[in-house]
Amino acid sequence: MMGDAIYIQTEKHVNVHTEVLFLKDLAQVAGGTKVIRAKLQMMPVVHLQRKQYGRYKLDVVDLIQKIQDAEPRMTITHVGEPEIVVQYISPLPENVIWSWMKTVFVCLVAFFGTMFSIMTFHTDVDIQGLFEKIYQSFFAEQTSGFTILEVSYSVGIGLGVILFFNHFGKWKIRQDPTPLEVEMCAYEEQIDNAVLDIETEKGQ
Amino acid sequence: MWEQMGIVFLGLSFGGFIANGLVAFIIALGIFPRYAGITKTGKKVRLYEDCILAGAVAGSVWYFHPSNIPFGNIGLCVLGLFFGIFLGSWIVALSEIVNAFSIMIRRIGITKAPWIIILAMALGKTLGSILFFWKGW
Repeated sequence: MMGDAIYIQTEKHVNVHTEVLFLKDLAQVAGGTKVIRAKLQMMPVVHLQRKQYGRYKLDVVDLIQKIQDAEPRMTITHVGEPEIVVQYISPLPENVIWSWMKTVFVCLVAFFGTMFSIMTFHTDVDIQGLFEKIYQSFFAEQTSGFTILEVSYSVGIGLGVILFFNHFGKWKIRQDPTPLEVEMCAYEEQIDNAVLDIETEKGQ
Repeated sequence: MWEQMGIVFLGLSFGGFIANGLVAFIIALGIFPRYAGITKTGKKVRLYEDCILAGAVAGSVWYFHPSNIPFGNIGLCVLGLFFGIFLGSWIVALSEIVNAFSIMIRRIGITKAPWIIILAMALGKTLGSILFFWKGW
């Protein structure tokens, strides 16, 4: 029979800004008639605690149960992961100045931190002594400690980082995500997985 | 002339290689994704990458060509603070990569307040650092 099946597709991670979530916020709905789809999409399915921002685990079976209650004659098929991580984010945009202050702070840590680590590395491996030997084998004279070798080496460091990150400022070598963006995604996913694990453990 | 070009080529290759290693290591430690996550500034990671680049070049130039920085004690204080913040995160990230704490906590069976361990670690590192410089070890 036509129109007897409902299909819902869910993503692993959903960002929301309101405490009442309708089915359309969490899933894509297909199948059934237009009227049924519209009704299901506007059905409130989750009530989060007001202003309790954070990540929540949501079992898709609960969604299916609610759809089944609303449409007892329908067969519901789900496409996707069995759980959804719902991230409830404040609808108000964060204070711009505060956000920039935090950005500047991380920038300073990145700048001085990398500076510190390259300098400790140089001291650790005695790069000055090594460069002295290399310089002398080229020119057979005493090095001043800051020659063309050190300059080109420092330029090379900059080039190496640009190659690694695949961009400088707005200019990009290739349209791939940069390593830090990749790592950022991996980090977000780890947090989602941890939320799922912790919530599952609590439920047992 | 050829010597000049040769040494420039060497310098560029050394620098490129070292930079790749260093930056890959910093990224793998996952300090900056975490900082960006905590400060909710995930959209600014490109900017952070630029800062890492600037820091690597500046550190290298400054190491070979130490020059006078006209900011006195305040400058030193800021510099030391940021060196310290970074190194603190670095050490903890490094020990976390080998799962030192999660294994220890599991073995000993600490279920309550694992934050005490974090606090103890932070205090221990600060005290250790002060002791190290104070005694001149």
